[in-house]
Amino acid sequence: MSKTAASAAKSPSKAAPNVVSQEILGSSGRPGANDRINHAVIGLGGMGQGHLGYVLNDPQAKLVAVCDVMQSRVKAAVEKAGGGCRGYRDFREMIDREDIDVVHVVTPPHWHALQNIYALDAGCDVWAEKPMTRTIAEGLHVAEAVRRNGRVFRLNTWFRLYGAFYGLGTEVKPLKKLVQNGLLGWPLTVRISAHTGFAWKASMWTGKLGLAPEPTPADLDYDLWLGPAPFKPYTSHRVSPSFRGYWDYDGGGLADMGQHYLDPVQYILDKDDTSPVEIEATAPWPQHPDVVGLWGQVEMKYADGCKLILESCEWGPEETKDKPFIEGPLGKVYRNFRTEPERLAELVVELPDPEPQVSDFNVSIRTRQKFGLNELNGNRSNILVHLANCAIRTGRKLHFDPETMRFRNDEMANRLAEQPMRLPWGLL
Amino acid sequence: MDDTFVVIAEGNTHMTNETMKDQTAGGGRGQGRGRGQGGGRRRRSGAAGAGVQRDGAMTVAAKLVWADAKAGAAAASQLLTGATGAVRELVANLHASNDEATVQASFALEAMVMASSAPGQGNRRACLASALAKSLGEAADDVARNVLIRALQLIGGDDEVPALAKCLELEGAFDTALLALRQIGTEKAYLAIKNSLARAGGRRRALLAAALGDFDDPCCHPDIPGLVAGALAKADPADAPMLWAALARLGHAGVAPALAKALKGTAKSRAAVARGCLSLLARNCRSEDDAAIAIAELFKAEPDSVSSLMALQDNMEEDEDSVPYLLGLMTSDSKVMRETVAGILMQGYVGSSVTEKVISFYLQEGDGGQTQAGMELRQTIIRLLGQRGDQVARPFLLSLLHDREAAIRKSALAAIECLLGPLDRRVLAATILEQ
Repeated sequence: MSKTAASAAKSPSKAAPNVVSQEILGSSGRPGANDRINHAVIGLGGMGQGHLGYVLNDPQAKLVAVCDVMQSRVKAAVEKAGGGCRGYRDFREMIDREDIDVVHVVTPPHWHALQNIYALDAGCDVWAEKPMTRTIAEGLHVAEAVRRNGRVFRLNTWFRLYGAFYGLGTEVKPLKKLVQNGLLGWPLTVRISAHTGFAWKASMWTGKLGLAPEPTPADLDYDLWLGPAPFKPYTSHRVSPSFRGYWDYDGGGLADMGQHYLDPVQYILDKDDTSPVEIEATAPWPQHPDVVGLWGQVEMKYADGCKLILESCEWGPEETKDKPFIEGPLGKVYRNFRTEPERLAELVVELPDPEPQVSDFNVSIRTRQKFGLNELNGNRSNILVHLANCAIRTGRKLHFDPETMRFRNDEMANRLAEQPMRLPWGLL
Repeated sequence: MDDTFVVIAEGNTHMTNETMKDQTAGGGRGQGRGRGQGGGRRRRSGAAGAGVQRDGAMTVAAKLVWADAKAGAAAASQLLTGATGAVRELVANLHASNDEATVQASFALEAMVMASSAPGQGNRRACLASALAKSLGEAADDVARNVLIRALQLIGGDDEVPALAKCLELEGAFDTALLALRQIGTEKAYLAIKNSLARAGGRRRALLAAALGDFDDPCCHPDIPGLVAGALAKADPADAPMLWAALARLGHAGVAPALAKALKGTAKSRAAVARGCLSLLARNCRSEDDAAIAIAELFKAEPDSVSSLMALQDNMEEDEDSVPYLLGLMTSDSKVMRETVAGILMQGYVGSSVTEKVISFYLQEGDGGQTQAGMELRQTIIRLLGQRGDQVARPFLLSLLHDREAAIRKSALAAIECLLGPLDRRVLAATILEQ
C-alpha cells in the first residue's frame, strides 16, 4: 500500500457537513431530462434488484446501463428498465461508455474494490454495496482512488443518517446526542446482538461443506464471476446469493450485516477515524478454509476502553440477554429507548443536534460535498467487519494498529488482511 | 496398513527438543495403532516412521468439523506434534470430489495452519510449512494441490519457495502458486518467479512479469522494471493493463508515454487503468525527475483533469507560490475541479497570508455574482474560508453579512459558524435582517 493511500484513508474529512438547498442545486422542481444523472448498475442479483429500484424510482436518475456475468439477468434488467438502457456482460465494456455519471457496484465483495476503482478512475461517482471491500487493505486503495479522482462515494447503508436502527426501536440520532453530550459517561460498551435488535444472519450465510463440483451453466461466465478470486471448481451454491458463505468472496452474515449494524455504532462513539486495538472471538475453531461457519461472540476494544460486543445468538452461550444496547458509567440505553436513569429519555429532546450530514446522494453528486457515509468513515466500519472475521478465523486475540491499519506481531493475520488478487486483476 | 495410523517424525528438522520428546513420549512403534473413527472414506494412511501418535490424523480431523475452540486447539496441538506424518495422511484424503474425508482433512489442515502461525510458534510453523511443501507432489489432483498451496500462501516462507516454484510449471496450480509466491514476497520468491519468467512464453510470461510488480524495492531488484517492460513489449494488448500496473508500482517512468497514449485512447476502461497507473507512478517514482516525467505525461494527456492536479499536488511542496495557480483553477468549468481545489486549500496551505490571497481572489473574481458561475464561485470561496479555520477571515466574512445577495449572506453565516463554532443563530439572523 502506498503512503498516500494510507494517509488518504486515515484522514477524517475536514469538510464541514453541508446541507444544501434546492436553489443552490440549480433545480427548484422536478429536473428536466438534461439534469438527470445517468446511472449504471454492475451486479444484478438480489441486491442488484434493489439498486435498479433506487434508480428507476428516482426522478433525478436515469438508468443507462446494466451489467452481469449471467446473461439472463442482464436481459431481465434491460426489460425492467423499459428502454434507453443497454446490457453488458463485462463491466469494462460498460465503463467504456461516455455517458455514465454514477456506477453502482453491487457484485459480490471480491469484486468491490476493483470495480469501485475502475469506475472512480473512469471519472464516475460510485454507489457501492457493503461490505466496502473483501479485505482491509483493499479499502485503503478505494479511498485513495476516490481522493485522486475527486469523486463522490457512498456506501449503501444509511442508519447513521436516518431511519429506525433495525430492531433497536429508535433512530441513531438520540443515541448520538446522549453520547456526545456525555450523559452516559465514558468509556462505553455497545452490544449488537439479536437481544438488542440485530440479527446477524450467521446461519443463513454459512457455506455448505462437501459440495461436489458441478458443470458450469452456459448462461454464466464463471471465470469472470471469479475474477480476482482463486479458481475453485464451480458449484451453484458458490454464486449468488449464497457466495456470502465462502471466504474467497465474502465473510458470512457478519460481512453481510456488519456495516449496517456497526457503522452507526462507530458514528455514535465518534470512532470514524480510528479502529479497535484488541479483537477476540468465541466461535467454532478451526473454521473451514473455504466455507464460512458460525460464530458466537466477538469483542472489540478501542484504545480508550470503549467496547463493541457482537453476539450472533446462533452459536454458544448468550451473554447479551437483558443487557442494554449501550452502557456507560453514568447511564444505559435498552431497546425501544428505555433508559437508566429514566430521565435520559426526556433530557435527550433538549440536547443539541449532532452536526448535520449530507444524506441525499443526489446532493453530494451535484454539489461535490462528501456523502455522510463515504469512503473514509465507511472504510473504518468495513475494517470492523474484517477484524471480527480475522479473529474468528485465527482463533486468537488480535492486536491492531489503527494508524498503520495492520495487525501487531501477527504475520498470518496480516496475510489475511492483505491478499494479492489473481492476475490479471490487481489494485491500483 | 489400511485403517492403521502411524506418524513419522523424520524430516521435522525445525522441531524443538521438547516437541520431539512429546511426540515420542511413551511411544514405541505400535502404540499409535488404532481404528480410524469418523475418518470418512479414508483412502490411505501415513507411512511408518520413528515417532508414533495415539490418534490418527484423520481420526483427529473427524472431530474438528465445527469443533469447540478448546477441543480444536488441543487437536491442532496434537496434529502439529507430528506434523509431517499428519500432513501426509491428511493430504492423502484431499480430493477434488470434496467428499467427507476431504472436508475433515481441510478442517485439520486449517487448524494446523492457524495454530502454527500464532506469535511465538515459529518452529511449529516452519515444521508444518516444510511438511506441506513436501506433500505438494503427493496431492491427488489440482484441487487438492491448490488447498496446500493456499495454506503455504498463509504460512510459507523462503524454505517453501522451491516447491511452490515447481508448481508454476503445472497448469492447474500456476495461478495459486503465483499468488503464494507473491504473498511470501521475499527475495527468493522473486527469484523463483524471475526464473520461471525466463522460460515462459505467451500469456504466462505476461502474468509472471506482472507478478514482479509486487517486488517493488529497486535497490534489491534493479532488473525488475526491465523484465516487466520487456514482457509488456511482447504482450497481447489485452494483457497490457496488468503490466502497466506492475510498472507503475515499481515507479518505472519509462511506461509513462504508453500510459499517456492509452489515456487519450478511445477505450474509456483502458484509459481509466492508465489514469490510475499514472497517478500511482507519479507517487512511486524514486526520483523527482521521474515523477516530473509521469506528471508531465498526465498533463499532456489531460491538462484539466483532477487526477493530473492531484498527482502534481502529491509531488509539490505546499508553498504559497502555488496558491495563485490553485486559485486560478477555481474558475474551471468543472465543479469537480473547483471542489477539489477547495478541498486542497482547506486541508493544506495553512497560514494567514494564504487566507489573505483567497480573500483577494474573491474580491477580484466571481464577477460580482452577476452570473450563476460567479455566484457559485463566491459561495465556494466563502465556504472555504470558513472551513480553513483561520480567524484572519473573520472580519471579511462578517462584512459579507451585509452583502446585497441573500445567498451570499447565507453562505457567510454558515462559514462564520464553521469558523467560530456554534453561534447564536438568532443574533446573526437579526444582523442579516437588518440589511
